[in-house]
Amino acid sequence: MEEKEFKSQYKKDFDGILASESLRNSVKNLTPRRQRHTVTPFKATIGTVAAAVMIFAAVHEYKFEQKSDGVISETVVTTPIPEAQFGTAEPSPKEQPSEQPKKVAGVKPTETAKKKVETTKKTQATNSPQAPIVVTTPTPQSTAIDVDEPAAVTQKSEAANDSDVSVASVYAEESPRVRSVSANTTETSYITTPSGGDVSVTKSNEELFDVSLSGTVVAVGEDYQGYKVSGDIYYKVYAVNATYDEVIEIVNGL
Amino acid sequence: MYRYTYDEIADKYIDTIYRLALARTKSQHYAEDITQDVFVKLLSVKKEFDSEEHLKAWLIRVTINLTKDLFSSSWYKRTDELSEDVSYSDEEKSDLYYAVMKLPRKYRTVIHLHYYEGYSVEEIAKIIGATSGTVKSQLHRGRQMLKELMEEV
Repeated sequence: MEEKEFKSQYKKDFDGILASESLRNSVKNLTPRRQRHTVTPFKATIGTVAAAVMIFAAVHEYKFEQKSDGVISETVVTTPIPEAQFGTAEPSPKEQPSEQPKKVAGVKPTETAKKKVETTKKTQATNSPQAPIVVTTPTPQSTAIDVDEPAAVTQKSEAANDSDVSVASVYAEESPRVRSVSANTTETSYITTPSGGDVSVTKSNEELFDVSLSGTVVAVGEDYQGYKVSGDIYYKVYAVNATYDEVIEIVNGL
Repeated sequence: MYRYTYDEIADKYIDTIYRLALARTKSQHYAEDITQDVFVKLLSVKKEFDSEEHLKAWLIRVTINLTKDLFSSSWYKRTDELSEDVSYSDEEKSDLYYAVMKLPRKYRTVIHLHYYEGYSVEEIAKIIGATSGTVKSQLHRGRQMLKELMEEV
């Protein structure tokens, strides 16, 4: 028998073999008819969610109409915590001993910060948490400043000399009118961020630290408001009983 | 991924599975049981298929495996001789059909897949999990035996 003939004969024979009707029915009935979608699962879901919300509200004493935040309990601070710990020093004159210097180092000013210098006679506060802050009890001494605009600076220095407490918050990144500043004062010098420069601290006596910054100083203290300073700068930090590390910490925090 | 409905597949391939099961078992009852088991398996495994051909090949492979399980069962071994009832529908079968049914099982399978389902030697090898050489030799040997059987008739 030829291959083709065999194939056609084979097909013909097996084409007649079909599954019986009972087999077809049993195979079709193997799976239960699929149930149409009902809303029952959705009802159950909605009910579950509603119950969860009610439980949440009950546990948290949530007031829907008052838009409560749902906090179970709040921590009430009964003991005042010096705000200086949080980097925003607002020392009151009473809290600050007249002869005991305090210093608080804030965070570095950002590039977007605008020029800002604040000086008060008693207590100066800055609302900006980014402001570098140095609080001292200055001892009025002479101030020698070498800037391009000495008149304006001198005037401000005199005002600063009258201060019992000075707090400076310095932001400056414009007005490149001053190219170099030599701040030689035992009062308070607010020298700020050296841009990539080194800081060295030398203790000249018990209350005086010589701090030398190299590199570009982008801002200077209250007396040099708005001036951009380039080059090395020398200044003094008045810090009674401070250690080297503390001074460095102050400078780094500026 | 090939999307299908069970009813659609059952309608389309129930005869294919039944014929193959019958060709292997030579028993209408066993063939029906095997056919049902194949579809039970299809429902239970929830397998994803790349194409309809993939699905068909899977059904055939499951059919062969289930018949193997049957042949290896002690029940079948005890009742094998009694249960062989080459079944046919109302239509009279040719001598060829009876000759094929006299072939050993392994030859019947490859001949059925090759001549009826139209699978190539390689495809059959993949489906039954054998080498192409084995399938080729089984086809050749099956045809030889068929010739001899037909000559006898």
